Amino acid sequence: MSEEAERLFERALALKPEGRTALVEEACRRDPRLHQELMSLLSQAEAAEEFFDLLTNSVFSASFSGGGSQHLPPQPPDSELHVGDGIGQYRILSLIARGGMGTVYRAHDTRLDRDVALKFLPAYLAAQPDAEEQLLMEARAAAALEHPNVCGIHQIGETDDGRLFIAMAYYEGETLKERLLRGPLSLEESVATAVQIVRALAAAHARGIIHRDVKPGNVMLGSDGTVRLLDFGLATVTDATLTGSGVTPGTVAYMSPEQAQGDALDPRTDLWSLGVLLYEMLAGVRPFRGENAHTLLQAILHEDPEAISKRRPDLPGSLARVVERLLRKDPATRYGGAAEVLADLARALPSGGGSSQPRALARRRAALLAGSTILLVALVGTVVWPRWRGQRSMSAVTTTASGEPSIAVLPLANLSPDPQDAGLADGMTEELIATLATAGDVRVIASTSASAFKNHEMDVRSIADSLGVSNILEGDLQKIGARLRVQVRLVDGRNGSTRWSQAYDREFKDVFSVQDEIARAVAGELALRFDKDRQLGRHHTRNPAAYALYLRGSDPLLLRSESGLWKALGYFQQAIAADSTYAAAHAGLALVFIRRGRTTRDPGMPLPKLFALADDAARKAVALDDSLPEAHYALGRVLEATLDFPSAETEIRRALALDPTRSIYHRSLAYVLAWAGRPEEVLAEARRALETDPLNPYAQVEVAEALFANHRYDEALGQLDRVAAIQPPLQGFAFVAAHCYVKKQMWPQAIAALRPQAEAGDPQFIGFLGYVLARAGQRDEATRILADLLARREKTGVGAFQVAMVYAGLGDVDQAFAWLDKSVDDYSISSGIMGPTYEDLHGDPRFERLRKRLGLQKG
Amino acid sequence: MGDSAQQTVTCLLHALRAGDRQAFAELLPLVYGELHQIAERHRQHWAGEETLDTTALVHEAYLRLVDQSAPQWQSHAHFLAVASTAMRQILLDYAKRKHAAKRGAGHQHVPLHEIEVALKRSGDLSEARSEALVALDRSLCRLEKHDRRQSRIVECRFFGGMTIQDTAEALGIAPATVSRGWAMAKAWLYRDLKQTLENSP
Repeated sequence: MSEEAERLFERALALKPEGRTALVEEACRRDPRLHQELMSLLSQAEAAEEFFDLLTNSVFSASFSGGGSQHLPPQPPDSELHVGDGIGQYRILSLIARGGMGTVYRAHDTRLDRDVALKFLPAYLAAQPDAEEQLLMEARAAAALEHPNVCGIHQIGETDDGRLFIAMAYYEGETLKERLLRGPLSLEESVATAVQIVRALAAAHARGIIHRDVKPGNVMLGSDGTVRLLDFGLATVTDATLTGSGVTPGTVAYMSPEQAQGDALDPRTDLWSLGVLLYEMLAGVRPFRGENAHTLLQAILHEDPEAISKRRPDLPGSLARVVERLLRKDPATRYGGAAEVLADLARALPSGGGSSQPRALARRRAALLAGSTILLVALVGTVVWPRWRGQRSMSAVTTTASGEPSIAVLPLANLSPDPQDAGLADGMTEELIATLATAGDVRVIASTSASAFKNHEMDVRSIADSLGVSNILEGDLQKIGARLRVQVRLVDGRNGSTRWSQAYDREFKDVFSVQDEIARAVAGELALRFDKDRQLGRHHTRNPAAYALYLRGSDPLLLRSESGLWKALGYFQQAIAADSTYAAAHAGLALVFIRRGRTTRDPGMPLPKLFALADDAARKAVALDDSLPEAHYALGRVLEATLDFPSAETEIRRALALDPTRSIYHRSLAYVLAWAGRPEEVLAEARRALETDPLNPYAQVEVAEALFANHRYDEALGQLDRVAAIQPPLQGFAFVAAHCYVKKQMWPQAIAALRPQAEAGDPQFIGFLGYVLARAGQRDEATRILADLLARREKTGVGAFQVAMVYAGLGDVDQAFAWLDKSVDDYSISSGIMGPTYEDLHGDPRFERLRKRLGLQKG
Repeated sequence: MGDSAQQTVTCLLHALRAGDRQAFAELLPLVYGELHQIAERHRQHWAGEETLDTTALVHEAYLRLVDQSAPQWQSHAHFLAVASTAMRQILLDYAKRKHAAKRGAGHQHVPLHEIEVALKRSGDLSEARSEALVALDRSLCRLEKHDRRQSRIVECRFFGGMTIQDTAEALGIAPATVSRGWAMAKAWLYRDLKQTLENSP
């Protein structure tokens, strides 16, 4: 087939059927055979597309097994399912809910041995071919949306009698609808719930998914405090039915005006629904009410709701304003995006003390910054503050906002069409920060950027206010082929006016000079001074292609999945291929190998081999550029992974000497110091990590862990509570909390903290749960866990350390030490063994031997 | 996999990049062997939840097969292309085994629309999938005679899970050509599947 024909095919495909015929006829007037062939192929195109999607999905992500297939007993439409009934691999356990949109059962997945929620769509919907197709498409989108505040979708299925169902994750808890039956929520509960819903929405909107059906029945309040949004993607099906008559007022009550009128929808429709929800949580009644669907719709379209402050006089004005702005009838005057709502909710968050003295305010703001990690992370990439001599506390930072020039650099929005270039904008942001940090005497505060929120719309002034900075640098970046377009704007945070702005349209190979020009212009505007002869920037390659590849590999999202790791590996290797002297790329490679060793224990890819590759790459990086902090950090991480702690400490200190602004270096040092049994220093480093990156959740957990290591259990738990009030718990939360509970002998709490993650199959949690159960007197279950760990050890690479923990809990000290020895051999030993939890073992002479083996002298 | 074998693969990739077509033929069995082993091991590991993440498999094979001490080349995409062909064979092996077990000697084609219905259903995927893969492979052989470039594009995109960009690099053509060829090849294959599955006995 000629390229000409392919081109014609592509052009025709973009048209509607009538247009296609005309185009092909016009183009193939002299070639009737081509005409016939193209028309024939075009008539298959849509079906072909769908077929390949279907096949790709079923081959590459569904079950690949050859187990015997289970045939279902035929069921009449809308028939009841009963306890014990089987649907494929699922066994019905109980009925959870029945509503207009279908019926939800709790069921047990016999293949994966876990509980799931099965939602059956009513037969009248399943019978609509369009609805079915839409459902498949949207469910795929929602399934791709992995987010802690979004209910996971396992599978879309169809029974033999043609009923569609969705298999979803099952969570213990109640829906917001059930909760609201008991009256309004407290201020704190309302905000914490709203914040988590907004985070789910922000993630969805960033991926172009609109929920369209945000209502209390779709909000699950987990018993672990996590709020999850349910039923993404069903909403389009719901829309299809709204024109019919079977609509319940319960659903209509949360519809936005534009939805009620059948207008085109954008993400702001979800923000309206959130507004109704927030109103109802706070006031205990809905803002719009009606006798029937018709009057209710009239109210939504034309009436102003009763001011929420009348219903809830204790409400802070800032929170009332959030509700009011969410419920504006014209979407254009509503919030522009979920990220903006997050920022305002954070500011509206009630904070304990009532004092209005400046110092108390500063403290409160510092607490807010520390506590509202996620939302600020969402907004702010990195903050550069002028160094405040002699003071390192957060309040010092906020004080500087009053007079000294200070600047926050927001992550540049990425507008590049190629998704592989997504990391480019972040990379340039980092480079700008690093370059600005070399100007004059400034303090750099770096924080993680959450890529889900990168393309947000935001109110610059409120961000500057939240962070206490006087200037904001924002902009966007677009790489199209070999072209690079960058727009930046320096905004005065106090009044929102533009101090300077510039657009660059260059070849991508000029990327370094663009970065330098921006940094120089900003520095000039803020009267910061560069050293005269200093080489600007930290980019250690002059090869733009290698740089682009390095940035691609550095995308933090890649670290989250197995396949992402391999992609990162590929990028770094290609970057090295383009410039073999590129030290940072070698360092990146080393970190990928280490990460892989940490996440997967794979008998086919033994750790010694991975670590040898990592060691090789890190040493190459150091050899290539001894002044590169990343190189020393990578080598430090390799040495730590291979249990050479004294050398690891040296390398990480070296990295910190070269760049004291990197929070992750401080965290790594804290970790290495924990091995050495120097808890006071651990705490100091953890606090430094948090200072340099006040918005980073991992740094928060690290501080809690350090407090624990210093026997300050209540403070550690308090720290975790503060963060958890607004942030979905990281895995580390539960782990540190459990350690604290153990020391306080609060066994049920310790067990409850560990169980969810242990049941999800995390060996670290399983081993520690075994320890706790044994200590709590539940020796039978602990013994069962031990047997299970031992049985799975060969196949799945359960670390020897997990086994050692359970033996320690059971009081079998001989076995515990034998397995601790093995845990050095298989690198699974954790620094937790040096902490207060295992103090009983510390006096044993065998512990001293273990320390010697690890090269640790008694501190 | 010893170091010398890694060097062999690295050299062959070098040759492949330099345009040596013989190198492809020599690489294929090596890559196939490794991918097959990894896939088998994953199958054993994940008893119950057996998902086939092609991308992860291929990258893992890459790490094992390619000499990591001398990655001074840009053969990543070329490796992926070889792996795509190998993946096609591996999937087909599995599908045929299942196919044979299910249907025995007296084989009858299942019409395409029945396969489609079955693919949408949750319970009994494996059979429809095997059916579809075996038929697709046959259609792909026919497409190869008709338009070799399009058939290579399908191998890379479908079986190897490669991006447009990587496919373009491996085949030495423009990304736009890849996406056009991919769209047209799908229509061609679908039409062919329909014809052969509906019309044969």
